[in-house]
Order: sequence, then C-alpha cells, then structure tokens
Amino acid sequence: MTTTTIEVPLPEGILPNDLDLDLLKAIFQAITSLRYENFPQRTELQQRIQELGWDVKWGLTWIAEANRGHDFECATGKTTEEALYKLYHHTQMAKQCGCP
Amino acid sequence: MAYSNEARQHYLNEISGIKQAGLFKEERYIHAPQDAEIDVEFPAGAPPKHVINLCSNNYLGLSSHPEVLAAAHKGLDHRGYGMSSVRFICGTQDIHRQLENKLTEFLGTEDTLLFPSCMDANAGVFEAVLNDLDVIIADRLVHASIIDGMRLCKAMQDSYKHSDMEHLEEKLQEHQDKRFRMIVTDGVFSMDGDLAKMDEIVALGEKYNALVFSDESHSSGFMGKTGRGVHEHCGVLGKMDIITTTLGKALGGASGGCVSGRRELVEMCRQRARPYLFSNSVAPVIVYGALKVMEIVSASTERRDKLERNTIHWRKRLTEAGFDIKPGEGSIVPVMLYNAKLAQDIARDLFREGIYVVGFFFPVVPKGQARIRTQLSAAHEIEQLDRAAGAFIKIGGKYKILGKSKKEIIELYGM
Repeated sequence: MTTTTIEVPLPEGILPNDLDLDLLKAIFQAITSLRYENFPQRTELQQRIQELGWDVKWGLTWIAEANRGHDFECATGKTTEEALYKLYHHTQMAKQCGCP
Repeated sequence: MAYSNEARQHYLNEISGIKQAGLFKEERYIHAPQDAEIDVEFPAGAPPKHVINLCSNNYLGLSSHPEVLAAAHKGLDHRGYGMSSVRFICGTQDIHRQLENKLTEFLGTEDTLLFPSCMDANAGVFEAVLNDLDVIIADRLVHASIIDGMRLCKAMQDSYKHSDMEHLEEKLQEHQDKRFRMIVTDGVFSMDGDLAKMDEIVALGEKYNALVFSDESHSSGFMGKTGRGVHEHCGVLGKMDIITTTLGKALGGASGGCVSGRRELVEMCRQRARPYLFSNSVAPVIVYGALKVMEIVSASTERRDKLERNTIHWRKRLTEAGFDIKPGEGSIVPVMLYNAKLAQDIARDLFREGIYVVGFFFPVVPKGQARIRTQLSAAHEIEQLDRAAGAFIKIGGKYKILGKSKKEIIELYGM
C-alpha cells in the first residue's frame, strides 16, 4: 500500500481536530475505494447475487470495533452515532459470561 | 497434516492463558444418580467423596424420582431409543405433541414447540419472529443463550439496566418508530437469583405495544402458587407472548427445552427456527419422563411447597449465622464473598466438609462480586440443610467472615 501526502491551506487560526482528521481520512478513503480500487468483478458479483433472487444494495458505512483481551465486538452504522450506539449495546450485553 | 505444530502450540498457549487467569473449568465425576447427596470424584482419580449437593438445578428433586424413571423405561420399551430424524421429516411421535400440549396448558400459553434444549430455543426464537424492522430491548443480565440468539437475529438490539423499569420505559419510548418491540427478560436471573418484575414489564408492554418474552428456565415447575413460573408469581399468567424454558432443571433435569406462547409465533418457530429445523427430535425416553414430570407437577404442589420451605429455612440459617446473602425469595441463594480466591478457598474447604458447592467469580459474575451460588432442592431434607449450614458456619468462622458486611469482607480479603 502506498500513501500520498496532500497539503491543504487552512484559514488563519484553524487547527483540525481529531474528528476533522478522521473525516478527511474517511472521505479520501471513499474516493480512493470508489475510483481506483482494482475490483473489476464488482458488477459481475452483484449480478450473481441478484440471480439468486437477492435485492442487492451496497454503500459506505461506519464501523466501530472494541477489543478486550479475547473479546471482540463490532458494529456498523450509517452514522458514527449509530455504529457507536450499537457497539455500546453489544459491549453492555457482553460484560460477563453469566451463570449457567 | 492440517493440524500443524504452530496450531497446536497456539491452542496450548490459549489453554495455558485460561489456567493462569484462574478460569479453567474442570469437570468433576459424579458416581451416583443426581440427588441431594451424591458421590463426587474430585480431583480426578481421587476416591469418590459422599457430599450434600447444593449446586444442582434439580429444584423439584425429580431427576431420579422413581415414577419418572419408570416412565422413562416405558418410553424406551414402547418408542425406542432415538428418532434418527429431525421433527419435520420422520421425527415426530404422538408423544412429542402430547408433551407440547401439556406444557402449553401448564405455562398458560397458546402453543408450544419442543427444542433439543432451552439454549437452542433461545438461539432460534428471535431470528424466527423478528427482522431488521424490529427492536429487542433486553435486561442487561439475561442468560448467555438469549444474547447469542439476539446476535443471530437481524433486529436492532438495545438493553435496559437490570430490572430498571424507568430505563425500560425510556427505551420503549425511544423505539416507538420500530415495527415490533420485544422486551426480553429472564424470569429468575441465574446470577443473583432475583426475580423479574414481570407484572410491571407486562404493563409496560401493554402501554407501549411491545411483545414480552421471558426465559423461565430457573422457575418453571416451582415459582408461583402452582409452579407455573414467575409470570404466575407476579399475577400475569396468560399475558406472556413468548416463554422459553427447559426440561433440564426442575422439570426432570434430563434435556430438552421449548418455545411456548402466542400460536402464530410458535408456528413461525416451527417453520423457521434453525435449531429446531436442523436438530434431532427430543428422544422418546425423555419425552415419556417429561410427561410423567408434568403429571406430577400438575397434580400436586407438594414438591414445590417443600422447595419453598427448604429455601426459607436455608436463607434463615445463613442469615442468622451472619453470612452476606443476596436477599430474595428464589431458590438460588448466592453467598457473597466478593474476592475470587476466597470463594474458591471456601468452596474447596466446604467440599472437604462434605458439602458440594462451586465458587463463581469474574467473568462468570462481575469483578468484585465473587460468590458461592447455593441452590435448593425439594430433594433436600431439613436435616441435610442443617448439616450443610453447620459446615458453612465452621468454614465461615475459619475465614472470619461471619457477621461481616461487604465492606469488612473486602477490607479483609480485597476485591
């Protein structure tokens, strides 16, 4: 994987915070994925799924992950709020193994 | 060879990590039928020790009841050993349907479907009746099998703080935009032995148009005046939308479980619940035994009443002795010790005294909540419970925890 550095002039006194940087990263990742990803079979795969009777939709989404030792929880959402909200509830329900 | 040395070493390291964390589960070999007193080989290779059993789910003492054994023998003779089929191919005998009808009548529902276990019932029920238009709102201390079932379902998952009805109501308000809402709870929570506020849950379900689901595994057969479950205890018999329960605890203790509830929901499970569709039928020998169990628990409350008396006696003895026990009325009575090593040490010493109990600690229970979970049975006699209480008092005295508050126990032993 290669990376490219882009310099963007910012107005006086503006410092991007972590959220801004995450957003910029996500936008460029989306552009890269959609425009330059080497995935010529995309349409073919979609068609194959549709031939089996599936209505196919795909798109960009947020993903939230949490690791704790052996435990792993993961949630996706159309917004960061949705993804983190779901992740929160997964972790709440996975607090302990529980009694049999 | 696919199982490489690298793979073997990986799993050896994992097992070693489990042992180092003090979480390794070791089976203890019992050389007797399940009962109030059993012979336990522990550690492996040691001569079996005769002990009072305070850790089984044999709440009604029916696991080795002579009438149940006789019925099971009859089942074996009349209907064979196994069905060699799933239910919907050639695995349903008339006795399966008889047992489902008996359970329906007993639980106060509209219909019932047998599963190989309640774990399977919980794994299959949510996916069968809900989808991504719906939301499940679960108590945060529900059984692990419910959590697994929820994860297999596409419905949105949400949760409310344990038994917090205000929080549940907030969640119900928040999810009014969903097609269906399902409130999910255990009847009796297996960790603390406390009861769901089923009357309030049902009232909220009615107010906010939500289905109510309860796992009655730790209550079927003995909670409520006639042992129907927590829904009877709380006066909402007939108002539950889905009940799951097990034949593996009070109701004979062998195996098998069920989904019981609204006719259409049960039918959806028959059509779509994967653990039902892809598992063998419950064996005829178990069905015959369970039919006898249903006959016994429907005919008399004698065993349920004895369990209640035993529970009250045991709680009184431990409280008077100065143990810190979780308050409540259930037959699960946790003795709180807070420290994991203390719980293990006391369980070990009690075993030497002829009392079989198990220490529970993180991650089975939250950190700092280590305890010994005692469970009562109608098979226990008061004399046995007094003997067990004597051993608890002796060992509690050794560790200087009698009459000590939570704070004092933690000061002595840490969390």
